[in-house]
Amino acid sequence: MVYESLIAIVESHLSDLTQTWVDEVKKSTHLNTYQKLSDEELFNRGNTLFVNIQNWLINGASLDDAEIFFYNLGFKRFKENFPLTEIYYALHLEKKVLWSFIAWKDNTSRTLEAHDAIEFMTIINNYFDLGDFNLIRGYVDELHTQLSNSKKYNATELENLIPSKIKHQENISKYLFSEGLNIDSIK
Amino acid sequence: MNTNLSNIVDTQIEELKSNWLKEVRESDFLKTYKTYTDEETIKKGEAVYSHLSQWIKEGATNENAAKYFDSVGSERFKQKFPLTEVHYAIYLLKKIFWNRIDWRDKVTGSFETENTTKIMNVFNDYFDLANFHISKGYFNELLKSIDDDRKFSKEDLRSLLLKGKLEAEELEDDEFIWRHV
Repeated sequence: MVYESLIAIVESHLSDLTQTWVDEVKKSTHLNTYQKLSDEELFNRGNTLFVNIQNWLINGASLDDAEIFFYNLGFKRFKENFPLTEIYYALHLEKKVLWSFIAWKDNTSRTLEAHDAIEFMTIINNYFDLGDFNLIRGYVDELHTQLSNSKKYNATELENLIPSKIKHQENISKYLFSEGLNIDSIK
Repeated sequence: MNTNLSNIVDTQIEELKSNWLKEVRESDFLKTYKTYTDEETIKKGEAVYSHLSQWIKEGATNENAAKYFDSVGSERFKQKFPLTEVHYAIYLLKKIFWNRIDWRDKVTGSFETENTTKIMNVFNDYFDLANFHISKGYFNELLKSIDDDRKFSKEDLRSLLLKGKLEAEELEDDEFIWRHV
């Protein structure tokens, strides 16, 4: 039920959500790189984020889809010279915009039950935890590749600089997803 | 409402610590954490929870959390933890804590949406701040290390890794407000 409501909210307010995110990005003093983008490009990037959560929910919250999406996002943003903290903060803003919209909607309708609120937040948290994790993975993997290609570090030096275990942690995503925050333990 | 969360730390710290240790020992992914003794591992998890309680009691300001987690990120880099492993550890600490939250209103004892929402906001702010600042502290230390190696000129380094607001001095804590939009 909450899944369906969340899909409906994103679907019917896609443009509003995106525009709110764009406004927040423009207001922020931390998102200098995002602010260099044209309004249209910024809107498109914000829109992509919300469309992705919508598709993720519609397609049964598939782990693989979210994992690939965020990994590629981290990888691409590294190539575009975005600082990791900026992309992380931009994603955090998306979460805030979405959650604030749900809370605001309830302020006007007063229909959100406490259990539903927890379930909403559980889904949102699990999605963004998965997102944050894979975003960092994509970003750091690309950094590793670039440093390796620079030939300025040999394998041992690079291993010391960026532990290669990071390369073998893809499966953590599955745990992040399958374990998730638990909505059945409401006291 | 905030005391609801700090009370969990104050009254259930032993359970939180033992759950954390169990998760670390059973995890296939926390390989670097597993190289530490039980005592050291517990200390790492306990510090995050104790800081949460302290943070709430001191008014949940960004500044306190930022400083603390920046240093955690920096320290974990020096200890050669992969950043994803640190994030996964924070996720586990968050999950353990989430399962112990009593969502009922302290006065009425009932489930109230407003109360629930407030608890969630504080809970999320803390762990989001943790992840953000750990990444920042970790990356700053990584960049410093590359810089110290002198294998790249300043200009090369800048083009390889646009540091932007990763530089601590450029990130003004007052500006960085975790808030509802």
